[in-house]
Amino acid sequence: MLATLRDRLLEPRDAASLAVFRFLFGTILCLSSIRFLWNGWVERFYVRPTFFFQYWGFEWVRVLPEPWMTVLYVAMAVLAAFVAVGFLYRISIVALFLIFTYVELIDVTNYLNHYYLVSLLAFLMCFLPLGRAYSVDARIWPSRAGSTVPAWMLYLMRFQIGVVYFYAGIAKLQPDWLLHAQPLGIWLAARTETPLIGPLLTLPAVPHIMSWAGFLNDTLVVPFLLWRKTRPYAFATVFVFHFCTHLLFVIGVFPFLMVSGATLFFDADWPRMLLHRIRGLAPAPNRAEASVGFGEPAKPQQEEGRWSTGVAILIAAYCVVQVVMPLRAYLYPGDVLWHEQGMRYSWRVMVREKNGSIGYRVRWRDADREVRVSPSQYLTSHQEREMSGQPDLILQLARRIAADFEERGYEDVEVRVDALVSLNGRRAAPMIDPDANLAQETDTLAVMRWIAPSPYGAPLPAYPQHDDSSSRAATTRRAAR
Amino acid sequence: MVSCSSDSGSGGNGGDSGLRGEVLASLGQNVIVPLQERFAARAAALETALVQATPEPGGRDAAQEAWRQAMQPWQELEMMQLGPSGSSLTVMGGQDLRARIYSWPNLNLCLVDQQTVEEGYDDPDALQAVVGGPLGLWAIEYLLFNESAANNCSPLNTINQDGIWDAMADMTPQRRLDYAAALSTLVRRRADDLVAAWAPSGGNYIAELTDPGRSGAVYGTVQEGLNAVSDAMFYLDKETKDMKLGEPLGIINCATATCPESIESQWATRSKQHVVANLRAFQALFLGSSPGTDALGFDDLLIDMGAPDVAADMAQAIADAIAATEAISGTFFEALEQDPTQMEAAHSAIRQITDLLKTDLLSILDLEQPDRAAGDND
Repeated sequence: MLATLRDRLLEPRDAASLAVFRFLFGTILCLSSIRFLWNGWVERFYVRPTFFFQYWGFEWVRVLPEPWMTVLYVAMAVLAAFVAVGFLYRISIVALFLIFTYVELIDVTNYLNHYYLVSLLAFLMCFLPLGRAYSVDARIWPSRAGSTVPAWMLYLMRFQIGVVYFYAGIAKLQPDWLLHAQPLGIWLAARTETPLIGPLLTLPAVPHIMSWAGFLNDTLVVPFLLWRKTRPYAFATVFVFHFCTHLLFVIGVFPFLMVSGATLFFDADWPRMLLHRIRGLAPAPNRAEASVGFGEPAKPQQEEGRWSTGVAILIAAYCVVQVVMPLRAYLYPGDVLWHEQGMRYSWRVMVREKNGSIGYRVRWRDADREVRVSPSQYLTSHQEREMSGQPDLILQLARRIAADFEERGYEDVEVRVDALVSLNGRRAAPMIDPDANLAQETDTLAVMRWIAPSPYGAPLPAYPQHDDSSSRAATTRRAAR
Repeated sequence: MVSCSSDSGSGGNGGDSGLRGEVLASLGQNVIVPLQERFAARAAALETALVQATPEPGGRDAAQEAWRQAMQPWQELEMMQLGPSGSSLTVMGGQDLRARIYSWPNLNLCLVDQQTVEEGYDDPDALQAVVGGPLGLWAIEYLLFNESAANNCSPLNTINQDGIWDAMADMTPQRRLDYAAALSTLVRRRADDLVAAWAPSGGNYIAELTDPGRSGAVYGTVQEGLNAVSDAMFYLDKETKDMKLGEPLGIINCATATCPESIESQWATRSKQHVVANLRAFQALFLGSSPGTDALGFDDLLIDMGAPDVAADMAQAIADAIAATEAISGTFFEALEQDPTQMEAAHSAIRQITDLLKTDLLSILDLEQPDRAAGDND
């Protein structure tokens, strides 16, 4: 059985679909880097902050001074363009992976699920020979050219995309999303001016319909993409779904990335077949006659030499990590959207609307008073907003404040926090035990006992039962007198 | 005038897309613009009063009262720094008018004294051109209310080292009034500029609130416009709560037990009234009007979203904060010295408002914190 599996994994597959993905991935990252520079986000996210939140295990990562951060983004744009056209592919993708991952590791408040996905895909692409077909490299160095890749490479990329969809779907399997249509209800109410679909968002059932549609899309789209008969419809659904998310939300390149990823589920030779159809060539060429470039003869590769037990173990280990990593959130009691332990790297995409008001209180030995420290003294508003819903970041800043006071000569510094947080429209509640001295706490994988239990009760109703709104407004005003 | 009593007919979560637009337009037409016009009129009255002021006993009384009258609407407008009054660096549509009308907390007092000595105020236009030069109502407060004959420059400064300041001691009161009069001319001009910038016959900024999203608009959507208003309301958090109360109380950014030198109104001792005015402006934006009158405000949006409890709590918190601030005995200086607990109570009451603002209100209406709009999500 293992031998059969091995043979299946080593079967040659047309490299065309991976080459198209390489082109799309590189183009998206190139444009994304240019957009980052154009919007002045290098200055906003890397130059303006004076304090950076560190990733667990990556505390050693430090931001570079200007102009080096700008240089890195320019380099990313260039390298991504190289990846897109397949020029010096290996060097380009490795450098792109390292630089992209480095800039993302500088500050946790910049974490986005799709940035994490970019890092993972770039990491995988470092090991895949995606420059061998439809590339400048293949033109310049024909000896490196090839028309096929072993099947496992395609499967691995599909797996990575599939993991994102599957866990994004599982993350929606919770009452707020499915029963109360939140936070979509809140978000859609503020987006009724959206071109094309805005007027639809005023319909009462829309938040629930879209919540369920999102859940079903994420959980079922991968099997439907894998099944040939349903694939075109599934891809069309993916396209429409991500087009809508692009219209409604500011989620950067995520929709483009996922639509590009979905193309990997088509037959490996789909680009070639499509080209032949466009060119009006009939019949379509035999799939074995794949070519390294448009119209060039096929040159199937012998892939067995690249395979070893070690490679198989590494791939299996990677897949296990990807499957297990998002599940770790279930090891922690309570609502992960509240305590956020295990939240990162678990593909909980767009499932929470969280806003907090954070204020630190500092005491020290022999102090006759308690001093308040506002997060704004350390953070940009972007950082403060991101921190306000994430307990581990609140802890990091508390420890920094304690260190600063100790540096100024105060002894036995204690830092406590008033952290009121609203989740999915629920009334704000304390997220951190106000009596916990965070200066004494450390960020570990253990359950953080100083995080207060999540608030009970349903979130904001998606369908408030309207009576006379003016009379209720009048009630409010009477209360104000 | 937009009626509050119109049935929203909402299908859920504020499904009536027009309500947010109606609120935005109403806030512009019924709250912001009338206040700007009131301030412009009072700025003109201040200019007139300062021209007539004299250094003799009682000669400044009318001008001082005119300054107090002008500060009342201005302190309310402090809460409405959107569009032309806002900073051109951080506010959409900003034209820096606020910085020229009231520069608190940035004022180089030594430079004011130097200008007083040099009589560098004869030509208001030239005065305005001085880079970093003192401008606005805060400098006027110093010149009009400051009873001290001393200056704020170091002993090594030319006006002290050369004995110039001491030599002109007799002339200082008149020069201060002349200087204040020149500054009031500039304030009146900027107040007129502000009104013109919003007027349909001028810059027509009001259209940004009544018709956002049109071609060339500053705010691409009604939601962006509402976000601009809520951004302005964050003045209550940083400036009012932290700087006007927290710093003097010594609970934030203060190395000693209290920091009276951080009190906003150092010479006219009107800090309490300023804070109350800030709160009343916040209340007007939240309710769409003063309490007791009916207009569209953020409370109506919360109710429409199915959160009447948040609307009621916020309204109550604002009323409580106003009451707590008004309950402070005497000036802030006196309160700090005699009974800081009253100021602490006001600070806590305002924190109740800002907690609601940063959590429930932002969440339910899907608004962003100031300066947060850039960047992606997922």
